[in-house]
Amino acid sequence: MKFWGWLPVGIITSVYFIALSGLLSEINSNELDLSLNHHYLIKIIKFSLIQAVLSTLLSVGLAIPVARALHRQQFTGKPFLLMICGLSLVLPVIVAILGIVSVHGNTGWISHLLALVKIKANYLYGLAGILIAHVFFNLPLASRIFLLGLNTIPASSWRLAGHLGMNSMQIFRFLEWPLLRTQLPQVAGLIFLLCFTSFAIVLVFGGGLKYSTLEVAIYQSIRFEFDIPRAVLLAFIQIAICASVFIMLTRRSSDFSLQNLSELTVVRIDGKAPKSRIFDTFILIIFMLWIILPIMAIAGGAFNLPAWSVVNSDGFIKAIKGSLLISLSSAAVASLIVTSLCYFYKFIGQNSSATGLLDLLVQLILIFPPFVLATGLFIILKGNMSITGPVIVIIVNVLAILPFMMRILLPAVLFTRRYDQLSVSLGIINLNRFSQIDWQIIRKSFALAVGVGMALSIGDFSVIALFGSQDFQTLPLYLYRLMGAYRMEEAGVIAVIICLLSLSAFFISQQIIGRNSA
Amino acid sequence: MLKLDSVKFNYETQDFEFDFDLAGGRCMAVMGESGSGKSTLLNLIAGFLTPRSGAIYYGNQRIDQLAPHQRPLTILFQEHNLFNHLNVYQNIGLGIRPSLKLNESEKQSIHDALNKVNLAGTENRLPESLSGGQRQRVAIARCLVRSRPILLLDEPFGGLNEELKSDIKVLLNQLKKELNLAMLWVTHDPDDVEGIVDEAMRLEHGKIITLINKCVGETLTAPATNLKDNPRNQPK
Amino acid sequence: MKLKSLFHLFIFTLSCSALADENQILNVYTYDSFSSEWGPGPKLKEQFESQCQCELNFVALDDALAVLGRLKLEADDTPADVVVGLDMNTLAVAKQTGLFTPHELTITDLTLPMSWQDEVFIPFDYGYFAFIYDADKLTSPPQSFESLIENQQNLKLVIQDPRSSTPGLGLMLWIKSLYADRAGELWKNLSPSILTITPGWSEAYGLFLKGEADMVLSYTTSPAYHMIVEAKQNYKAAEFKQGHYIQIETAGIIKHTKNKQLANEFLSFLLSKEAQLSIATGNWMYPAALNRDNLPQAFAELINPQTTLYIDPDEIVKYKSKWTQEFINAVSN
Repeated sequence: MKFWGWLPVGIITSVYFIALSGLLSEINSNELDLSLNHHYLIKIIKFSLIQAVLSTLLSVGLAIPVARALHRQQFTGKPFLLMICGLSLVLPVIVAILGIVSVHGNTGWISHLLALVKIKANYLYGLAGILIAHVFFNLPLASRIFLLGLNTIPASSWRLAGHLGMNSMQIFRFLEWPLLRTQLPQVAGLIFLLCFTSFAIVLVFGGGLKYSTLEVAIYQSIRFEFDIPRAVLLAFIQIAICASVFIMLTRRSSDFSLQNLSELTVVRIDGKAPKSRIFDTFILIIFMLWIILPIMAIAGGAFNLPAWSVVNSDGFIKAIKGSLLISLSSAAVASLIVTSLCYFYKFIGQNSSATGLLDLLVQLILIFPPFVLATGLFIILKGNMSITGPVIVIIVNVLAILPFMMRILLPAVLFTRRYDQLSVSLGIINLNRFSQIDWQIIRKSFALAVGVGMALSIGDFSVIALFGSQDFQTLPLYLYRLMGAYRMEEAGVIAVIICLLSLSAFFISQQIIGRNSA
Repeated sequence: MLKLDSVKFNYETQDFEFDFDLAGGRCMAVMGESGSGKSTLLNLIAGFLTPRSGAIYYGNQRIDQLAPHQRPLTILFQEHNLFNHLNVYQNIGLGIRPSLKLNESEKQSIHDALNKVNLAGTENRLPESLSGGQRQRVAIARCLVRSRPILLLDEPFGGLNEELKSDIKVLLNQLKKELNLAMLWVTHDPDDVEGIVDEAMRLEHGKIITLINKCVGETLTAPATNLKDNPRNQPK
Repeated sequence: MKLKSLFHLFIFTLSCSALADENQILNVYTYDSFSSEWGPGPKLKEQFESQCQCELNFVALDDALAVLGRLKLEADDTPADVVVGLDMNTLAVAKQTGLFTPHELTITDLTLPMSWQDEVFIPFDYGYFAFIYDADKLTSPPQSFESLIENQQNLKLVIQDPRSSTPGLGLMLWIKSLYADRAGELWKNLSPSILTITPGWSEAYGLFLKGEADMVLSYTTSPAYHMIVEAKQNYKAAEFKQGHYIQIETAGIIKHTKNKQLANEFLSFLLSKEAQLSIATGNWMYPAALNRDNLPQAFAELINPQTTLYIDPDEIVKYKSKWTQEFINAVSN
């Protein structure tokens, strides 16, 4: 038990250790010339912060009226809207970018509309584009969390509010705001972190040099200039900023999960006022269009039949092979690691500082720039990139999906605690214990974790941008390339294929692993 | 006969010491405040905890070095006696063989046990479709098929109403006599064990402070009440 | 059972990507538009393989500079035998890696507009950087960087990142060669005209063709593609009186190659007439070892820069990062 628990901990620790030692070995041989890029450095840090703060303010600020409207209005399309909301959360970033370009791009739907009134729309590239994409992802996220919070306000409070004749403003002030305020730091911190470390969105919409974040600058330093010292410097700045936000977050930790969106049982009287109705309807229509248009644009890509010829191209074959290789092996490796980690967690469960360390180790990847990690690994592993490249992509991918898989699997594994004494007393131990008891209990969560891990890997667009070549690529990289070459119709088909593949990975894993045995 | 020979154990600053014996066909009630050592006692006998010194015997066999499932005992917990994802048949079968590979006579014994607890025909049902009392009776059926001479009960009536309690008590009493079981019953409520208990002990700060050996008779009402009212009774 | 089939699928995908051929394989690192189906790569592969009893394997990256980055990463372990597409401006940096070995060719009849002496790299084509525009939309194209700046309300440019793209680097050097110390200032003034800076040439050119930008940095020879392949006459290169910066693309051999003989054969093949023709009409550049008389008529209709600009490679190595920083600071406001 102990050994199998220490093994993955050792593996993860050594991955970071190897990467760091690789990076440090490069720094010794090169002098770090800070003076030269001092100016540029400050500019990048400033822009990273500004765009993240603006994205956070917009997402959170808009999410409050959206969540209120969703909470106090009942309408037929509500479950559908919530579903679309959830869909936007799991959409691969690069796929969503394509959808946003199709809607907001210079030749997109909105600019076509505006052209009717003779306005030339040209706003997508630069800060605006980055904000649009960040809000696309994070507004639904924040809205859902806030809605969950609002759902926890007890029915008695609403009755009381009705009894006292509170108006919408007063309800917000006395009922909703006190609750939202407790969620606010967490939600804002989470969104800030996501936007601060955002890569693909800034890469595509940042216009190359004009708007660059630390994450993109790290990527460019490595890929374009092979300037490891600068990449490491940038990485440490990013880690430092993220870590301080992260620590602030965990200090005032109150766990909220994104599941169990319970239906409102009380009808709020303030939603019935005509003014609120008009306002909420307006808000919800904008919100719905905001999310649904890019998704429709993506789905629409499937109906461009001639563009399906792209599946015959050499590039596509290589990309889908690459994607299958990466996602299957990442999910396979990660599921082994995550299972033993969860059992290790259960094993040391009494010791809260040990479990805290374990959490930290697993979540480190969320603030550790993947490019720096991958480069450090490569410096040590060396060799032909067409072989070590995929291996490193898989390693980094495994680390990246671990936190998500662990969050799904851990509760199930901890649930098996309740059978510990009974099993031991009945002599159900070792393999019998696992196959008769634990496996039956965790298999659904395990299947879900594997599905999520696979789906995330299929949509991943990070380290592959560093190691990809014409011969080793994945579907997201191929999509990025097609977009780069402005072959939007074919890109649309690839986007649909990525989504279908993610979905089927999800469902197939549930079918094969998660199905109840007869 | 179950025998604890100056079994000592310590956890944090608390010292525990147990020394008593219990014959087959008899039921011993274990009472005391929470934290007094009731669960520790049960866990020591069951093998979830290891004594610092002393020994536990069943007859002449020393059992405190055996793995929990190798000890000649079976346990009825307060809750989580059944695996929710397994049906009644499997839950009982696991008590015979953890691999669930059963031969014909073993399969038959499961049906017999279910008959005995008046749950014939529920083989394929899942625990969640049973009532709380039925679930405990399934657990008792498993105790039956395990046919171990010692039965440990840890607040087995948690969450059951009076009627169900007396049903199960009748069943346990019957088994005690038929199978000559040595029963050690942890409870906070003397009423729970009324009519079945033969002996009783009261624990305080990890020590036995009252031990009542009632050699004959069917009830122990008076001493049990006594135990409840006068916690400062001296050891025998 | 199911795990087993998953495992087989895994092995299958692995083996597909790692399967090696028995033939002698020459690994050629290059940039993607060179090896892509609409570049000269496939034709060159066919031509060379018909005479070499070997397999020519292109490993393509976004840009020649990405190739250089990959070489630095892989260092001594690189599987590359030959690198195709590093230009004159990056040669000195490439040599600093110590990964290249001199070729064994004797080069005689080059048709470059300047002399070429290099023991390591052979030139295979050249061209001049220029801004391409659509003559149907833009009737009076700018003829200097100053007029580009003056027209910034109407003219949106797509250029490439000098850190990641050889044309991007070329433009930076073009401006440096013209403006020297005032280059930073010029960039600052030019900055409002720049719609976006793409990492590579393909992205920039794609943006331009989609009509997202009015002009794109490419080559004086790019219109030949539109004339010959698409029979379109409207794409033209804007001629700058100040002169155009030259790009000479080269090929070189990796020191650790196990196929040195074959690598030299490939370099020599690149200078052969058939290869030079394929390159001219596939890469859309002027051949480095073939008279322009042999080219399709369209090439004669292109603008012919009066002044050829270039900066000494040693100078570039010395100042490249300084100039790049100057550029970044000027345009990232």
